[in-house]
Amino acid sequence: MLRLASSKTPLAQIATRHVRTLRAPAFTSMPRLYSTATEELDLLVIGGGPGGYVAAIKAAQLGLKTACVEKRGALGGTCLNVGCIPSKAMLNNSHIYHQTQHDLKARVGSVALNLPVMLKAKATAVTGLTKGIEGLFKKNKVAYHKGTGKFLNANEIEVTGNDGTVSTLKAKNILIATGSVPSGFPGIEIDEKKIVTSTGALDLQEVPKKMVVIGAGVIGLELGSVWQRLGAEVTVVEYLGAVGAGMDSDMAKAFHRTLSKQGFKFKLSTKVIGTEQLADGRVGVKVEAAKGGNAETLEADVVLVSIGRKPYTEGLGLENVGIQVDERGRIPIDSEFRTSVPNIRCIGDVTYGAMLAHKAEEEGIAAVEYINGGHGHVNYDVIPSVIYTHPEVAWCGKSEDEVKKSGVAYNIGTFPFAANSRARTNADFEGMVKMISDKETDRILGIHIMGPNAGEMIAEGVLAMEYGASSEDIARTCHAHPTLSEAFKEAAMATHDKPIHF
Amino acid sequence: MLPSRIARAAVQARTPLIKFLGPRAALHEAHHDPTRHPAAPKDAEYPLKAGTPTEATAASSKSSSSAVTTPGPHGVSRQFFDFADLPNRYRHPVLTEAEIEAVEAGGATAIY
Repeated sequence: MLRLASSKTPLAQIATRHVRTLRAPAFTSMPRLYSTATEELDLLVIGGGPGGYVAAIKAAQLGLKTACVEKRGALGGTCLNVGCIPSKAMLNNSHIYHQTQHDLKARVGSVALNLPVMLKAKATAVTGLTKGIEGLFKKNKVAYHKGTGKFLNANEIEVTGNDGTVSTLKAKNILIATGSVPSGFPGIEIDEKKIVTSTGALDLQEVPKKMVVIGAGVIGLELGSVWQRLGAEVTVVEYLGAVGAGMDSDMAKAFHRTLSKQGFKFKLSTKVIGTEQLADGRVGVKVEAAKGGNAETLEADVVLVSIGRKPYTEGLGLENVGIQVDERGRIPIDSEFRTSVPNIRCIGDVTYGAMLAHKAEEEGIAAVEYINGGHGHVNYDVIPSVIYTHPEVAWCGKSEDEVKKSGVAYNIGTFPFAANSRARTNADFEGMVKMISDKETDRILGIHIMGPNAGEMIAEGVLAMEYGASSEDIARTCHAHPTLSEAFKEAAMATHDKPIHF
Repeated sequence: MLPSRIARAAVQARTPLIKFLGPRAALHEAHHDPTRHPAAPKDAEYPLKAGTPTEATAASSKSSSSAVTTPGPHGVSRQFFDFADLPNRYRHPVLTEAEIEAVEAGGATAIY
């Protein structure tokens, strides 16, 4: 309020210039002149990843005066810069290379890998998409501050620009969307050259002869796939007894079998003790059985540490506003994404729930809708998960183990892609669709797919589950022929009654 | 097909669970209050308790980060602070909602 007289907005300058000559009625008829001339934002988003940038755009679309602070120098967060997008670029290109080299060799002759060109294609995809978000910010009038945000108090953020300048932004509402970073492994030092996280694994300048992946989750299996297709001998070490980040156990077994056929070596129920530098410059990874046993050393040119991610709040100044993180580093929130400070909300990897870009996007929109006085919607029971290997694995809802544990009586229907005409035509028929429904009501409880394009196909399952569909609803919905989606329909038929083609 | 079977088939005509309920704007939206976050761990504390801001940290971080040293005339360096970094006693008192309302609505008439 008191800064208004010195405000440099045109209206405020006019008001200041003519304040002595304006007639009272004319001036008092513009009371909002004072409030609109302030620099206070309606919403300041800290973090320009998938949660943060989507929230910022949505807020601007709803008419909120919005700014976003991002320190990376490029929007899109981990997902666009060093996560989902570059890994998909590498997965797609390595798949084409592998398919051409093996399946199409008789038709196209020999092919050779040009890794620098492949890495350049990845960089082009990333740059195009991150610049695209900057364009969306301009289009929607979201102010973009390249720098690091730090809480001074519940309404003010100090922004240290990437160019060193320091400024303070004031906002009625602040949204924390600072995401996550790879978890380190105790005793193993990451150099991003020989011992790498996902970030380094996306930028290796040559194909390692031997690669050890610590952790058989989504990131480890995807990036392991990339380098295995390009010629690396990949060994995956996993502490648990199964691959695949808690997926349905039937699918995990089938997936394990499929990846093993592709050349992956697995050491399940095995713990990593540490690493050592070998005389020839390579890295030794000491492992032993999880329950104890003989230790052995795995030799590798590159070791990928992919044991998970942890919330990122470093330097955010949470202590200045009295927000405390929980034992896993997450910022506690309520159902409307409010932290313990009501005007500060939080979404994405840095708080509860799965660390997935699409989950963060949903939360970003919902949080902004709450700020705007509406009602946000995120259904945590139906957040899809996808592993973009080949074949892909995708699932949503409950696994069979979870349903069994809940005590609900259930039906199961499965359909193999080997019995699907399009998959057979494409000679790409590894995998199946598995559907679980409530025995009494037939409502779908979980859908699990391993097969070509499973990541696209799961969208149908997510939509069905969001609407509370029964397996019969899907079974009676017409699916085009010949498509892979017919396998989805047939799995629904198998759940509700019987499939036709199996 | 026997008539009885036809009759039974008609009775058992299926109704899909997915139904169009009408335009969203016409749907009644229930009043909502904040609750425990659905993805929060069962043992997570709720309602959330506000912690106490550590003012010492805040104050020290402010003074160290926003003070700017600028070379003045005759080569003398002078240190400047942003107005917002001054301690509370040098700032304008915080206005109450009523005071703000009074200024916005009628305070301006005092100028004339």
